[in-house]
Amino acid sequence: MPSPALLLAVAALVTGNGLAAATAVNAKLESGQKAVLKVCQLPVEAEWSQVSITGARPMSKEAEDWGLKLQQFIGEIMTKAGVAVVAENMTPDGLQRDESLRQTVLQLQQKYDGVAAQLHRKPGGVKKGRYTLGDEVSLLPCSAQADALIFVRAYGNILSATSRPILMVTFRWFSTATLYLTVVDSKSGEVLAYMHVEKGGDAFRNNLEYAFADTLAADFKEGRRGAAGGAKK
Amino acid sequence: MRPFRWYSITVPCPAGMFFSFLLLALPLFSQQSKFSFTRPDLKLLDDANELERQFERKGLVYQEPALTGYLQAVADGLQAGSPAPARVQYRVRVLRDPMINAFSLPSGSIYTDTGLLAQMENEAQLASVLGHEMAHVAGRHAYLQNREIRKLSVTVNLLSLTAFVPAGQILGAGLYIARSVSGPLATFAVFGYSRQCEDEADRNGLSLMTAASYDPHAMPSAFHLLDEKLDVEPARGIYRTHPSLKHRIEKTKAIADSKPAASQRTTAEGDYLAHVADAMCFNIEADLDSRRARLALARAKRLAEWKPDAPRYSVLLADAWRGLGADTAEPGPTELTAEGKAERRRFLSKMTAEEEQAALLAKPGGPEVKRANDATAERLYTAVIARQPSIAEAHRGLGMLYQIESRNDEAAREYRRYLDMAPAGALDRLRIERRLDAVAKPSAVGQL
Repeated sequence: MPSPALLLAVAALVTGNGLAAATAVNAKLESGQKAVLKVCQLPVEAEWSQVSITGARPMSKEAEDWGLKLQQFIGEIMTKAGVAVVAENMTPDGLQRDESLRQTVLQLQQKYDGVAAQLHRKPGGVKKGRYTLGDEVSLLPCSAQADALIFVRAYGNILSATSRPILMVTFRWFSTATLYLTVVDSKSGEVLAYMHVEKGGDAFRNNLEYAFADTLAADFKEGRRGAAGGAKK
Repeated sequence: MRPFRWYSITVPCPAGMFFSFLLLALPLFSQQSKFSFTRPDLKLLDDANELERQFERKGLVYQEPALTGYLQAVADGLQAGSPAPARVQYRVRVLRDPMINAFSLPSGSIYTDTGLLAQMENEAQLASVLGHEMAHVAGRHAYLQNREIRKLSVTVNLLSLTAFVPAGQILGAGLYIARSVSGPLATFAVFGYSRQCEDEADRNGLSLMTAASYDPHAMPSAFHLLDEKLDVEPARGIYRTHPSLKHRIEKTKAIADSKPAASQRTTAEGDYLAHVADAMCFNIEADLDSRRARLALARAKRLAEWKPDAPRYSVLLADAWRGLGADTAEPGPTELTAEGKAERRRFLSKMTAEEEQAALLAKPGGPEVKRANDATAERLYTAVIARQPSIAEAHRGLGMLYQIESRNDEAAREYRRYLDMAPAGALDRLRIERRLDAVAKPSAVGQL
């Protein structure tokens, strides 16, 4: 009879409930042909839902706050990694003051989501430069100063305490947080890098550091390959 | 939670089928006069208000006071004489979404997508949609359906039932936001209500139309327009599937036929277009962005035929021809079958726009189709420029067309003209400057 620990480990592997992380980097970035030293970060689109045995209940207000925290947090990580963040008015509140900018951001976010449907499924295509948002990215004023645009999607699933014992049978007995971060060339719209981080446990609700810091910091270091001088891996 | 992907609708969805079955089976205890609010009702109302806030916050509400005023006037005309139920205020708003859909919230807010406005042909058809939605609100269908679902303990993860809603893309953006706020509201917006509720809304909507002197036959004719004749949609909105369009057309036509002929107001297409033209222009661009060039073309043709001398519509028409690339303007017979539509959906989900064009070009006759489409676009752009050389957008479109055809010198010339004519603060100035750079030094960026 296999030990419970082994069973647990296998379950985590099978269901992906543990930690998952994946990065795909465009060959242009990897080879040093492109450099990402300045970025323009678009508002983080976040979703939260509370999962109970009767279903999932969206928590839009909590998601809104989480999105703002994440945006700030990711900005800090990038700054630490030596990547400058331009155009800091890219928050939902900041955009309320400029309707044309808000509509441009919405158009690009939607364009990204259109591409992301395929990107999430086959991230390997990033290396070959398969995905692009097109040169509409130039419609965003900050694309003039930045080397790349950053698109972030975050999803949090929180399990209600009462549902945990029942949901154990599905191997989904703990909360999960998933984050997708995509780096897009600010000129051509080509996807330069794609990062996917998934964490299990409840800590992500208040502790972003725990959830994403290590992986993102490492990824950003990777993502900077291609900086002037073309440092190789 | 992983983002939902719209291509998942192309596979049979057991949960969705189960839910549809459930809706058909649910008894409807519609006791209007005895309706009193329970806690879950108030929660649903709160969710509806939150959803409206999210639509606003995300910038998804189409802001054009004249259009909103017109839609509100049509709705007010339908409501005339009958007071709104408690906690209901009828308010019509437009969503920036090319999907052909409309839905109501229990609070009385009715949202019509720009895609639906672009699809309707006259005010009477629009009134049929609004009347139907108002009947849902007046019948308290959202509350009743929500109660039934709760009563039977079959919420069965409502979110997963709307899993096919496109993940934030321009097409279906409204439904996607609804999904992130309230499972039940999103489900009602996508699937509609039980067959009983839908039939009741059709019947009562028809009565509202007749009372307001609209031709009741406009309702079945509006349903005819909702069929996917040109381009497929990722999610089939409430009007398409539940009950089936055929059933609804037959039923509403029979009711309309039975209504006594009375003096009806005239609802010419031109009058309607005068109100919705700007929203249609937005929608044509949104259709092009969502890879639905055929729909964009059909709508641009309507506008260009309505006002042949308006350069804006001719440029949009040319843009749509250019957007077709190697695709045909009309679907072939096989594309119109259920299998053909399913294949088209798969096509959209598995290929990027560039790959799709390459695949179309590789088809027999593909290059000829593309040449013909491009030639039509060029002819339209040059005709606009010949009439009014100062239309900057025509130069921009022509430049883009030449760039695709690798006619770089001509592209550069047109881009320069655009940059000379466009206002200093034009949003796409940087984009065109970069394109000009690219065609001047093709090796720098290459083909866009």
